[in-house]
Amino acid sequence: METLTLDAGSNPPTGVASPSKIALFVGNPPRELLIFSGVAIPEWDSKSEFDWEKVVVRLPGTSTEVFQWTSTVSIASITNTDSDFIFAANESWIQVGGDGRLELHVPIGVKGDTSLFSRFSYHVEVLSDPVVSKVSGTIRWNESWGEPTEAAIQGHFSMFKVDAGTWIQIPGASPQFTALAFTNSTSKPVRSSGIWAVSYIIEKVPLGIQLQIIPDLHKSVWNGSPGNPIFTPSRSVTLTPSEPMKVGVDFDMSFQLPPH
Amino acid sequence: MNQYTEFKEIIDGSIEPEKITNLRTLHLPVRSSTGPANRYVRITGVANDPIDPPWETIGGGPLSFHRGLFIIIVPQEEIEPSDLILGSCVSAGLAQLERDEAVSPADFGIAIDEVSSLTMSSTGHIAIVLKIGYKGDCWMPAISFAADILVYRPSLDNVKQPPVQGSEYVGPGLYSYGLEWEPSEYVVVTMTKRSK
Repeated sequence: METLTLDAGSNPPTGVASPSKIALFVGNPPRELLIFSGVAIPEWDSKSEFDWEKVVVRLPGTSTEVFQWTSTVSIASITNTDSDFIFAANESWIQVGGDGRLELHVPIGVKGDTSLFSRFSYHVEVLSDPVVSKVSGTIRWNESWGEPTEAAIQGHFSMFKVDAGTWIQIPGASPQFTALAFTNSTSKPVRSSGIWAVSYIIEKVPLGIQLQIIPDLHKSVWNGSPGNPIFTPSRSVTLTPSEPMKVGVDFDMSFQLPPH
Repeated sequence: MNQYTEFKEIIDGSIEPEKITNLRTLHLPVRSSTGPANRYVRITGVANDPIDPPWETIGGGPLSFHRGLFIIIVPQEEIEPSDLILGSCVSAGLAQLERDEAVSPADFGIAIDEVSSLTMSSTGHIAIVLKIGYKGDCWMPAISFAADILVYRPSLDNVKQPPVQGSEYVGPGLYSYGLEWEPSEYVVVTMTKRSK
């Protein structure tokens, strides 16, 4: 059986129309659910017999070897010129390619003189275990405090640095905060119903240690209150081998103003 | 050049809910690795449009592929008008295909080429736009669809609303503006005279 490889993750996509992907955390402890959709374009034509071809669609995501999946494919575009015909896409499955990329495998069949199987649509869900230890959450604030600059809204600059670390007591000196993991990259800010929100993910967070999660605002991308930002509530997490990820470590940002 | 301009079929479930059958939805609280989404919505169904399309008279005539838009409007308000859609995955496929060979040329073709967009109207109805085509006397009277949507809904978060703009958070449920309490907050001091 011939094999045709298409790529939904290349830029631009190769042989795939309207590829999409969303990623979410589900369950406790959290696991990552990846969802993919698109329209593959094999343009497979019959050589008059019932001819089969295997289509491999490389998806824009990776996973470990151990994961769960569901997939569904549907005939989307066919043509025929005055003959008996068969168009078939009877099964599909997901596997990990040699480079770790997820792949959708779909044998398609077509018969007719002439028949053309142009496109099929696909919808895939992959549930995987955490690959690395992570802490994630959302930082939110009321729009009355201020708003991000246009550059931050467009995603050119991150608004926050978020540290995961511990306070170290040094004899004769004030406790010092030491970050053991951090992120300088937070999502684009979005606003709805007067609330701004930004999400963050800190990866490679050490296990077995109680860590304080402390955000900090980059004032260069802020148009608002001139005071010092306050992030509440105070948050600490401890990741373990059985629970290497914590989500929903959220903060509300407000501002400290000088007393009047 | 946008070639999907020969026709526009609108299956408006908000006006004619019977046009969308087999409709199922589910909602879950979630978090996302790519943004502040806090709600996941999945919608599946079948959009029904049993028309007899003008295959002979439009566009390039009976022997050409006619391409246009197929717009599915979901009947129920699955998300609130204030929700923010942060991402979606949509797929669509043929649920029913019809072809009349009696009068049409022998060649025929049917196509769902791609999902153009998923948006939300001001009333909270989801609209899915497909780019489709047909050739000869054939049509797709029913299209199945599935949509996964990530949404940010601020009301699901517990964002504290400062009682006074510029007030400072000093503890759970407590705010102060400088050294003064917000005028609507006051402390009742009960003094009792201690007996000798």
